[in-house]
Amino acid sequence: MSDSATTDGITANPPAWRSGGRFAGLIGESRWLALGLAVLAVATLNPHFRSFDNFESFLQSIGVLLIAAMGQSFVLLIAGIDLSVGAVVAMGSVVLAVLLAAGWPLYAAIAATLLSGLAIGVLSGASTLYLRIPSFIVTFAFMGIAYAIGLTVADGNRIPIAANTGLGWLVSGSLLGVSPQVWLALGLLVAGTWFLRHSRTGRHLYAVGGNPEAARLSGVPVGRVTIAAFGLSGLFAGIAAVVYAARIVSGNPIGASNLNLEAIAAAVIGGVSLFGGRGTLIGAAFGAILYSLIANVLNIYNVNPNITEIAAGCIVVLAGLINVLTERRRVAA
Amino acid sequence: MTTSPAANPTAPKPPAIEVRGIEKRFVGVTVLDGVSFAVRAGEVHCLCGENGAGKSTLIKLMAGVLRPDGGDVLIDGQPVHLTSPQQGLERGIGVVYQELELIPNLSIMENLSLGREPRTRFGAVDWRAVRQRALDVFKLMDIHLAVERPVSTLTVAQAQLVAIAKVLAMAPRILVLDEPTAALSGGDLETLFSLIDRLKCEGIAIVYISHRLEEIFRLGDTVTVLRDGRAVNTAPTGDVDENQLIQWMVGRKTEQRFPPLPARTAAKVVLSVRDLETPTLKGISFDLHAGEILGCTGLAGCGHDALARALVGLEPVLSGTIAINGRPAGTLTPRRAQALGLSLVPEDRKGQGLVLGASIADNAGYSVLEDNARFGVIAARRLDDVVTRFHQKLRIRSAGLDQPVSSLSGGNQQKVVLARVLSTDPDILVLDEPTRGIDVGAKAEIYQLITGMLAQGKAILLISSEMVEVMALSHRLLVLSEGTQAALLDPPYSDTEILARALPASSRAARPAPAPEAVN
Amino acid sequence: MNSLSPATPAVTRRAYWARLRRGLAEYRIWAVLAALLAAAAIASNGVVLRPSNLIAILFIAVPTALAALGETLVIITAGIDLSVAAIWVLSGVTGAGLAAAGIPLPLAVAAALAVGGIGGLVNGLLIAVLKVPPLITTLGTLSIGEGIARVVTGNVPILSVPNAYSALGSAYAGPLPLPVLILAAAALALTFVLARMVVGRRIYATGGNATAAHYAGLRVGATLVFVYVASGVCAALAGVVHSAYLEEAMPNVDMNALFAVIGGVVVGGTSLMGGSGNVINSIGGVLVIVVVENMMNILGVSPLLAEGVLGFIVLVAVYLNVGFNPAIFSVWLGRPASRTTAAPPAAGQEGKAQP
Repeated sequence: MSDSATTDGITANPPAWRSGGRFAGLIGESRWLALGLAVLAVATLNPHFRSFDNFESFLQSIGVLLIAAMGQSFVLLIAGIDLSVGAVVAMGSVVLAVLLAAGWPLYAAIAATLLSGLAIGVLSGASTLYLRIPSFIVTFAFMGIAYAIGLTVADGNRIPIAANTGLGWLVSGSLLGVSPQVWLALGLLVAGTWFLRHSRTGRHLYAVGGNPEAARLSGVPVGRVTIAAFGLSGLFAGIAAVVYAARIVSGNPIGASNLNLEAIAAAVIGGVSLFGGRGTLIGAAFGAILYSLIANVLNIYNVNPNITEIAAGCIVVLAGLINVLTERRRVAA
Repeated sequence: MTTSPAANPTAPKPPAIEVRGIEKRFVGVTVLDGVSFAVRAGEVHCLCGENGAGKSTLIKLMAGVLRPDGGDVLIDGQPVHLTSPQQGLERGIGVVYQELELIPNLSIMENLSLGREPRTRFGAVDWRAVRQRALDVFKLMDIHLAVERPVSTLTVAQAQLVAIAKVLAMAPRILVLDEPTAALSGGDLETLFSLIDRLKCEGIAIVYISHRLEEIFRLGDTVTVLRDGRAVNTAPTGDVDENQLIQWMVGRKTEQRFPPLPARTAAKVVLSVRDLETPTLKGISFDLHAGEILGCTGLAGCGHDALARALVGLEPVLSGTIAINGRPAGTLTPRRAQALGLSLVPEDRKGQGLVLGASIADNAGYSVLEDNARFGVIAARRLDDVVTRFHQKLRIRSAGLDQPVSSLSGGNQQKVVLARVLSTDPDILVLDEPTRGIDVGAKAEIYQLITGMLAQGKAILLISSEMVEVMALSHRLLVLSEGTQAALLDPPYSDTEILARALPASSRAARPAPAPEAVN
Repeated sequence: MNSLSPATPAVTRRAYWARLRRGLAEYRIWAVLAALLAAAAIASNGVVLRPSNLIAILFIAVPTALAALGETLVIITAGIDLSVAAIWVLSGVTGAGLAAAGIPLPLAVAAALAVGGIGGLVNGLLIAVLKVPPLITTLGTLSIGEGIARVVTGNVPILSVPNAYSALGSAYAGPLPLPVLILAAAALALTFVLARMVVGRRIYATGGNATAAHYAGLRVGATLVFVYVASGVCAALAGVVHSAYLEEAMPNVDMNALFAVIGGVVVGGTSLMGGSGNVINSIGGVLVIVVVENMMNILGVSPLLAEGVLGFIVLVAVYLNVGFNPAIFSVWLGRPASRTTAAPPAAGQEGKAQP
């Protein structure tokens, strides 16, 4: 032990934080890596999975979850939770479909969809902030509101999207040999990671999640940061809504009902802490991929889809447990 | 006894910061009732007072975290109306709070620049500037810690210094330090003191809050005593002594503060600890006899709170034995310890000792619910009798047993905790900082209670960082130092010897008695 | 009483009135309910107060109120149970399904309640032993429960139940509907538990300050398991009564019901921070919500707006909740309370004992 607080003692083993860097979070979740590898091994044994078609459709299906999980991460970082993600995706798909059917140009319709998601997010954040109500309740309420809006606008029906709107290119097209939605997700990942690592507000997200009182006393604009986090979550949900609508070629007012749970599960699997202050978008993306992999494998083996729902619940609980255990070890250190 | 160079400007320059007639109320309770004092540039102005005198509120008012209900805060002679901590920072007021306001998952350098991160042209955070800023401050403070380290990996003492560095990085003109030495000892204390001397020379006005009177005389030019929300007196430190300060803090002449200690009866060993090892303790061994008070003391961080927790199973025991009444205790929990006759009055009475929203009766009865129940149903009258008995015996001042404990004073709250513990009729009482944050009057009552328990044949382990208290009340004294057992002393005690034993081993070698030490 | 001043008649009388006022203040939700019914009667020209309508309100409210009883216990411990919606559904299909398959009524009901008890036990063990935060645990078991319900029924609702079973939901025992009697019995039992039993004291202590409760030797873990099992059984009871009343059971979770249950507890005055509250008030809270719903229905308000109004009411109730603190959310997530954003110190705290 050093005899003074003012120096680092020379230690035999370099402290943990020296090694690892940006991958430290992932390596810490090595259990999940092992699970992922095991799942992958099992999957490749099945000829169905190996087929190119399945791989294609796998990539198709993960887009929504990937984007939603990344969006959820922003809120998790400030120790909040956004339960309205699924509803916003459903509502967004309806908005998009209705506008396209009304003859709006594609980009305007997409912009409106994104705006609707952003609006819900900002309102959620503002409510959490000014009404001082836990984000769980606020976003739960907005979930109801978003579903209600979607249902009202769609009059309870699925709204088909015509083939000539150009939206389909997002999922079925090809950009440098890969589906454009993968590029979209990648682009969001890069932009989001830059935001979290190198922008003031991004760093402030970690600060508020780590110790909100200290952040406030240091002059961090906690209010603005909160609204930014929820706004981003809403925006990402809006983007996910666009991808979702493209995939099902329609607007579905009651769709994406499990997305909340799955997005949280994916983010937590990827190392985003429920306590706030820790986690990366790369981790969330990894979690989303792993989760989808498991779901895909279960699908191939013709497992009852309800079992998948059960599995999702179990994963959330398990992830919560692991998160708690890891946090405890960190605190004790 | 002040060491400041005679540099206080007496020219008609207005004081760097002044508060005049500050008032603050919280839901009908007046916390500050017209406090006034002024601090000039280059002056170290100490604030002291018993807990509850209003020091923390006053700091928050000066920082802009709270707004006064009356009175003014003046900076350089101009009244200011601070509406946010950010405004306070802009006006050059830097506050280092008692609760370290650091973000554990971020690095040191990020913490130092939090809220004011420099930006590059593209709007990104300029990491090089962030790092440089941190290095510059560390150079000023003579600290050598790697600035990329996450704060969560630091020791408490290191974190304390980083918290101070963070405020210094903002180049404040007015520096407020709230109990900055809570976690520091030895060489680090000297680092801080010489830093403060240097800052004085640079003309920074320093407000130093501490209850450690020796620090006030070492560092301060002026001292203001707060009592019950009022500034009772302000004087240059050269004109007063410790007794005078205590008198002002308490309001009456303090004579004998401690009851006489009954002679120790030769009696059996009720608690036997051998080679106890926990994550923060090593090699603790002692015997506790019935009818005896064994004191335990040391500097902050010596591990005595871990000892208390280990005795009720709330601290992992890595090796060693704990035997109660001759039999090994096995895996302990507070419940099991209670059944074996060992009860703990925890260190943090609000966080660990009481359910604040519950009534006095509820809190006092928690430990004996099952003894006063039939088939799980509470026998109300029996429980009431027990609780009333202890309420009267301990002289808890309240409006009734139904009163929620949150509205009691610290002393009465502590008595409720004692009532709960005593209701289980323990053979062994472990008291962890029993008089912390309690006014002098209530302290005296609790001392009486403690010595009174000896007559009933109880054994007491009195853990306290207040050396005066522990010296007056112990039959024997255990001194801990950095987690190890430094000494087991018999009376008469000398505080220099205790301090010498309590200091970390390395600085003990270098210093025979309290004297400045070259740092690092 | 036990203060150092003599107990003159004047002092005792003053203390009595003070206690009475405090007691009345605690049950103010019932005054709100009365005012609400009056307002609803005026707005609907007396339609709301028609006996047939009032009976309908009762029948609708009972299942939600039953679930709210157990949820109250959980919330008093500063926890949260989201899985009640799933247990409700799972026990509904269990009870109805078994009854429809010819299993004698008592066994079918017992099995349904057992399902609730087991579900609650799983929650309790995860939360108390494995220390998984309540929010995450019950979010997970909510999904798990619904999934199990769907798998077990093959996603096919149970559409007919024997008369004996449906009697549970719609029969009368004397002048009162059976469900109301069941609710009354359950409410009385739980009120007794909270007020007069050791475990009740433990529940309030755990919610008030679990650390201090542990230091005092109270069995915090066992207490938590108890409340989640109680919540599970109450939710199961709700499911049975509800499926009996509707004469059908669907394996789909109703999130509106979940909102009404938790909303009812909160509107009734139980603090989300834990440490206070009672089950009678939760019934009042549920009634308020059901009356508002009913009123808007009668007035022909669109469902979207109705949902908005209900949500608004609950949000306002949460906001006004005495002792509310945004820090509760961190407590639900299992985060150490000392690192949370706290409201300004309560009255009397700032000036008194400070460490």
